[in-house]
Amino acid sequence: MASISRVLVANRGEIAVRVIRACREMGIYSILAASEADKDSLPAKMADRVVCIGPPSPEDSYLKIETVITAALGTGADAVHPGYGFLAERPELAEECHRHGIRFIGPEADAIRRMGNKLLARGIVKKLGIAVVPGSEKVGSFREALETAEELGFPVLLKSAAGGGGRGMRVAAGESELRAGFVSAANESRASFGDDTLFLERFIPNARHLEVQILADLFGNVIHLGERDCSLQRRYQKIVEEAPASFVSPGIRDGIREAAVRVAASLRYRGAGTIEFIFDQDRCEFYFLEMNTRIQVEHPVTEVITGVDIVKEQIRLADDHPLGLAQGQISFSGHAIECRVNAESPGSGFRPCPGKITAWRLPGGDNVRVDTHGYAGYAAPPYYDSLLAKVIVRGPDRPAAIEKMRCSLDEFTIGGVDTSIPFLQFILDHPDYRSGGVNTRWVESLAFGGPAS
Amino acid sequence: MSHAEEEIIQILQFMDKSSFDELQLSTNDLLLIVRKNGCVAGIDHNQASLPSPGRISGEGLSNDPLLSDPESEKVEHSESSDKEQDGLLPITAPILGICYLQPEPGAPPYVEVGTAVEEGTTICLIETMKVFNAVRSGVRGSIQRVCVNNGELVEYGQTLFLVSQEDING
Repeated sequence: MASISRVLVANRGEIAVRVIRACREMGIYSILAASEADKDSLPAKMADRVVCIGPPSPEDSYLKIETVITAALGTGADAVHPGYGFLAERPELAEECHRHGIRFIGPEADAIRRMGNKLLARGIVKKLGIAVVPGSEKVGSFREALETAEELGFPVLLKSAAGGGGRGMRVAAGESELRAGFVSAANESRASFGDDTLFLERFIPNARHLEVQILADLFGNVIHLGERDCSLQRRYQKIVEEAPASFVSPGIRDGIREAAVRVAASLRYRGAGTIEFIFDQDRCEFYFLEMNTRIQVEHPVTEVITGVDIVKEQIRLADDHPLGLAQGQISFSGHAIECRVNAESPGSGFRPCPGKITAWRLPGGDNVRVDTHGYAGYAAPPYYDSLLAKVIVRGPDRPAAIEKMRCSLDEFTIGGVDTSIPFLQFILDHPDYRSGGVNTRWVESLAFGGPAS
Repeated sequence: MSHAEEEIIQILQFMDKSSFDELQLSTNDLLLIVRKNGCVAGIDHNQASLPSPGRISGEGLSNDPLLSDPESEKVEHSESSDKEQDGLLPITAPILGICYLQPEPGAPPYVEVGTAVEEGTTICLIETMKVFNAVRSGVRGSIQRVCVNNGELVEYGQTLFLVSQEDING
């Protein structure tokens, strides 16, 4: 096949900007598939061509496989980049691309499918001798769930096999919560994912969320680009991410890096992917959690400490190139932090605040990067998630990076919409955050009243 | 046929006979991109950002009869708008897809300029991945302008036809 020269970007917001930038730098013609609500967005202004694929609602636009394929065929695209979310982990999109002679910038449909079912993924990884979170196979009834929960020990996490990314999960501390949670989890799972298969995992109260970025080519070469610590989460949505994971021992970091490479190799994976782990800080053990077969929101923290452009690598790998770097050539420099700035009101229960941006001044300076689709005068539409910008800084060490992030968030001026910046400042100033005394439940334990706090 | 349309047809005939695979031509108010091999030729006015002219890529010529025939009149696109244009009502594409003006190759088109339409009249087809969706007029009136070419990719919301809402029974 000829080299990729025209890419259809089937996504929106900051990741569409990111992919279009990578295309431009590679001399690749970019076509944005935009909903009606995104026709005047920043990525639409940057793309070489924009095609309107539907009304604002994602179900009628970004989530319609046949529309994305037809848009790619009709604009002469030779590849589709799905971004993250939306159709990025739908194996059917990869299959339809393949069927129509279009490159899918991601792994084969088979790898997406196998890692997409979280129960199946656990089984595959267990066979490699890698520990998974202690848990069950499918639980078909409340009776089964209760027996399993008693074996594992309460509290337990009820999870959806077809879910992932923190969706469709319920904690149950005892039998009555398990009873209530079982039915509602199955219903929600069926409604959201079309599959009500549930399983249980031990609930780990003092956990860190660690993940490893990998790149793999079609020749079987797999390398890792180090780990990220994404323990700061609110309702399973990451808010602050860092690289490397400085509060975890080198032994654990080597362990998860090696395990991640083995998982990708066993799948004959191609492209960029992330293997997520739960690190039980009490037991000092790590467990495989799930694999995300796409680019992740927080990929920039890995990029700024390794110097590797992961999106360009995705495109090259999809274009049948071998990996340009060997593991020994990957080096890590400094410490990076990313803060996700959402258009939401932390003082009002993190209610989303779509609206028109009346003032916009970005932070700047050396080692400060902002990935965003915002601009002065932009009206953030209400149909999509509230992520407005990602601020990424790099410092020679973690304390310097924290200082730089504090200053950058102070500099970042956004008028017209409420943002999570005050909440992020609160976190960055907190002694627990600075000393590393956090876990995945820490953010939700914070008492934050609003900007005045 | 307007002067611009004549020139465009000449360019297409030149491309047909030449060994070039792709042509991009940009002027102050026109961007013309012609590619061979199955990629539908399009004319976009008012592109926000123009690619650099003169790029060549290698493909071959397709003889799909549904693609625009250079001998026939090519439609110039005006800025698509939901507002009334010259007192005419636009009928817009309800989905993105390939627009076919006739039920099958060689058949007469569903409508032409002057055709009277009712709300339920099928005026064209839009195809996505082999599924053909009939587009209904939605209004009662007569077709005043055909705004797309047969076999062309149309976007969601793109103006397909302009209709005058007359009382067709007089």
